Amino acid sequence: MLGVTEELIQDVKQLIIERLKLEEIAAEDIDTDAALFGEGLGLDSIDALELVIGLEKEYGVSIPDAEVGKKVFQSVRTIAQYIVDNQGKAVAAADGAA
Amino acid sequence: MVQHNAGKVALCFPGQLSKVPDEIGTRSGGGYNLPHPFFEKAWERAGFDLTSFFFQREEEDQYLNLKLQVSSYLLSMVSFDRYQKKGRQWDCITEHSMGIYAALVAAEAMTFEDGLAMVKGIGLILEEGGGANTGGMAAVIGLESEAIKRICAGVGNLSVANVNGSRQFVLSGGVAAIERGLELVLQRGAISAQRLTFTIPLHSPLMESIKGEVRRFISGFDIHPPRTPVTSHWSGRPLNDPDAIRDFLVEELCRPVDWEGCVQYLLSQGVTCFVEMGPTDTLTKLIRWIDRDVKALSYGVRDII
Repeated sequence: MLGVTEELIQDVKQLIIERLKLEEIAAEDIDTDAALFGEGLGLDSIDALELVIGLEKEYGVSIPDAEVGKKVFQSVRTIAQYIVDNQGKAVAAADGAA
Repeated sequence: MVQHNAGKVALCFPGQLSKVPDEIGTRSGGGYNLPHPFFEKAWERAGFDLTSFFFQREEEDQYLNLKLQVSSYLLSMVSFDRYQKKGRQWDCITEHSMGIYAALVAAEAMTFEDGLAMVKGIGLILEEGGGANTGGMAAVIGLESEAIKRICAGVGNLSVANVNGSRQFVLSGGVAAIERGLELVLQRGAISAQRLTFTIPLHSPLMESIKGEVRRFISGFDIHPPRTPVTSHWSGRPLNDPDAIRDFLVEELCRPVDWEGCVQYLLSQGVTCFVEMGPTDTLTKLIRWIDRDVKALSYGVRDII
């Protein structure tokens, strides 16, 4: 996928670990393409809200509703792609407002 | 051993499981696979086999929420028993929703046997007398209190059953009200909205009709003053007196759980470590949201199932 760097992937993994306080998991333990919810890391909706807040704080991108959330939180890669696709927009909107 | 943690430790007893843990119900049971004395007692006294998730009596076995409730009680009690046997310490006890029964047993206000009988008896009243299938509950994540209140007021017959955090709520109400509430919270941008297994509007004023029956039922139980302080999940105050505990057991079915307020109260009392007693980490995650810096962990029991 265009625009997603390995560095961003690592940063997203770090964000997940820190935001969810996953003390026993290292970034390399998380599979970039594996499911985050249910299977895989086994995250739930309480975790999802933590990630929503984390993405807003770190990258200024927002998840407007559950439908978008479902698509974005499929895997680390889909989160990274969402950041690439939406970060500029958020900045542009903020600039526009200023 | 050097005590590094100078603050208080609070044990947290979670409410009813939202689903059957994956490990349960996969084995044949009928009282043949009982890896803990509490499971043996459950089979002997309540006719319930946890490993196969099965009640001996067919009329009881049809009730999913009754089975989940008894399972939750047993798993919390096993978690507590192991914690205690490891020689670990605690200063106070708190609970969420239907976790009150295990919490009272852990605080030595009731025996394990009475706790089991009470959980099952109240579970049956809720299933049979509580107007089962007259309502439901749903967990809503992401919206703030104001938005939630506005939706409840607009729908009617719908109320907040749990304040689990500033953006984590459980709603309770009539069947149609819950369905409408789910639609509206998703339209308003909730990150998640899910129906829970309950077929009754627990923790709502709609439960008033069963109060008399519950009060009569629990009047037959011996309740003693807790030996460890138990913090009530709605007032954030300690439950000391047996009569106050009886009142609480009746009233709590009709009133919302204020878990956020309960955790805030305990933090203000110097609690620096919360330990969840049970198979999941739901309360642990809610505490993480309320205070990111406080230590919160789940003393799991999955390996025993």
